[in-house]
Amino acid sequence: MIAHAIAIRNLLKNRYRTFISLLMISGALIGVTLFRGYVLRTLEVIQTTIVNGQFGHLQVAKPEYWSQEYKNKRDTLLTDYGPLVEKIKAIPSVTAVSPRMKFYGLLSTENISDSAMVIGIDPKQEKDFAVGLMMIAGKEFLVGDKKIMIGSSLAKRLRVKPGDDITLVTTTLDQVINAMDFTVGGVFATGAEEFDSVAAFAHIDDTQKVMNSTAVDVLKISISDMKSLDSVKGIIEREYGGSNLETRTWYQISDLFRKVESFYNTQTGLMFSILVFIVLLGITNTVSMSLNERIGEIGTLRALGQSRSSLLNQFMLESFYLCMTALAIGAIACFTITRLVNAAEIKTEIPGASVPILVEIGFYSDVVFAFSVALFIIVNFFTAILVFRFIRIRIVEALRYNI
Amino acid sequence: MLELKNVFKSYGEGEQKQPVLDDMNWTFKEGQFTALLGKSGSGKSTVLNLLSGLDNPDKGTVLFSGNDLYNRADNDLSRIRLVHFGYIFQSFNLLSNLTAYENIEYPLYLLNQGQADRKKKTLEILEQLELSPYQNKLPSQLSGGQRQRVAIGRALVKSPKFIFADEPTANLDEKTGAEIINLIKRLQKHYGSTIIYVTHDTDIVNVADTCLFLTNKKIEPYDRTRHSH
Repeated sequence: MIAHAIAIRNLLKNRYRTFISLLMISGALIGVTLFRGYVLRTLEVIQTTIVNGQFGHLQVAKPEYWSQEYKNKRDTLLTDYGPLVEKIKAIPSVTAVSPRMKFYGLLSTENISDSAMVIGIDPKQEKDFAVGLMMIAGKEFLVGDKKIMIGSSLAKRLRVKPGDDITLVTTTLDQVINAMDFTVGGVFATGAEEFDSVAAFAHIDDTQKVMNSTAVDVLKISISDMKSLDSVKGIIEREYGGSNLETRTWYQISDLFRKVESFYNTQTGLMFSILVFIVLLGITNTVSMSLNERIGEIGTLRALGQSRSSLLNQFMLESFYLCMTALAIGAIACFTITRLVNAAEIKTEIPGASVPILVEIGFYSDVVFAFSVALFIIVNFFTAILVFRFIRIRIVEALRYNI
Repeated sequence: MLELKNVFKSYGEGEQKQPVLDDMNWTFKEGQFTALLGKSGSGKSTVLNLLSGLDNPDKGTVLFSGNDLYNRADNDLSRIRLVHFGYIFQSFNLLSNLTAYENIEYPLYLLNQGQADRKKKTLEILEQLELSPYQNKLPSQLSGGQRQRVAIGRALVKSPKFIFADEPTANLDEKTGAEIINLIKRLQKHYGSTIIYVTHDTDIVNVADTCLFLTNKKIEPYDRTRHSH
């Protein structure tokens, strides 16, 4: 108990210095955890948008579709896909399997034409499709009955709104030009300008008609739980894959997500390194000052028979209390700031986004824990190095200092 | 038993090197109050540091119970200081964040003694030193004499074989100093410890069992007629 009493009383003795140390450590934790919380929440939003709005959790297609090395578009298509759909649906965790057909064409109004990437979907199978999409115009996501949904930037260029007529012109698989009239069912935004400036969704039956084919590009698979992703992929590959099919996860398909994630991870690492550097500068300074003032005490305790290791433990106990207090303050502050920021509903424009993004910060206890452990280890390691230097001072020299 | 054998000690380096002790030999008997006198700068504190395991000699050996005090690992030497040696410093050297009670209890804590045992011994010492009313005071709330009594309590509480006192009355007024000397003497008799007491104050000869004088880098028995000037 005496050791604990000494540790706590020493921390309270120089309150200003302890306050500065607490501020530095908790500040570093708050900074890096909030940033990481923002990054992870943003990635979650992007992931939801990508999974629900673009790729599903998994996609099954021919290897030629993925490699894009084919002579004829037909080589990439799944023709007799009905039985495969039923088999995949029977896998536990699979909630929906929906065929898709994607091709490029020209969308034209009376006065304006623009190229578009048209994706044919089956709305009955893709019930959660609109989750993660923002409706810019139109009440609900509506395809079928010659209705087409158009990306926000593309709709802006074409100057169309729900109810307007539009014509899709493309070449069929037989290289014959074909056209179909649609009514604009709504305008959507995924948040990714790259996608919203080219994409349009139509019913798969309509896209098959316009392509003059009953085949599809891919089977989009939705699952109930992201944790089952690898196991479902494994079952499909093992049992139904063979050499004619290749299954890819949304993460493998989304090059943009991987790049964004890598970019954010680098930023987090850099930010953490900078904050740790600042903390170490500050802590090194305050610990050195504190130790300098306590050389006499070190000499006295050594003279009384306290071993170096026991003395090291004594000083590290102070560091332990300091770190634990700072990290607890930091964690509570993180939680509070996260709540406040999310409640404020701050919106911001970011490059590459078609609509303003809501700034959301996630509070992830595992992130707080990981950064806390890292800071705890780093601060205590450097403190231990400094203390170790001081407790090796010759006792008679240390005793010359006032206690 | 503590013994100095052919001990050399100097300070500084190169041309600045100043020898303080030169081939010093002496055996300190147990159970006695030994006063070590000498002029300022004669090396009294150096002898005390060598005997108490705080500073090793340049040459020669310090024998404790027949074994070389310094020819051992630092942890072992710390253990000897903890178990067998007690210190009373000139500037008291009390831990400022601990109360009088806690300062006295601290060596027992280092010795891993149980709480009940620690409490019993600490309270007993506090009573003998007439410090019971001040046990919860911090050193800053005590007078010089009270602080030194706490320091004496801290040295005595573990009943060490040897107690080293380095001019413990130098920072006290004459009356308090005399009280402290008498207290040390009384407690030495009670606990049977050996006291090696460094001072330049020749009045100690009235109290000490043995008086030694440090001169010309060597120890010799104190002779009032030769050394008093």
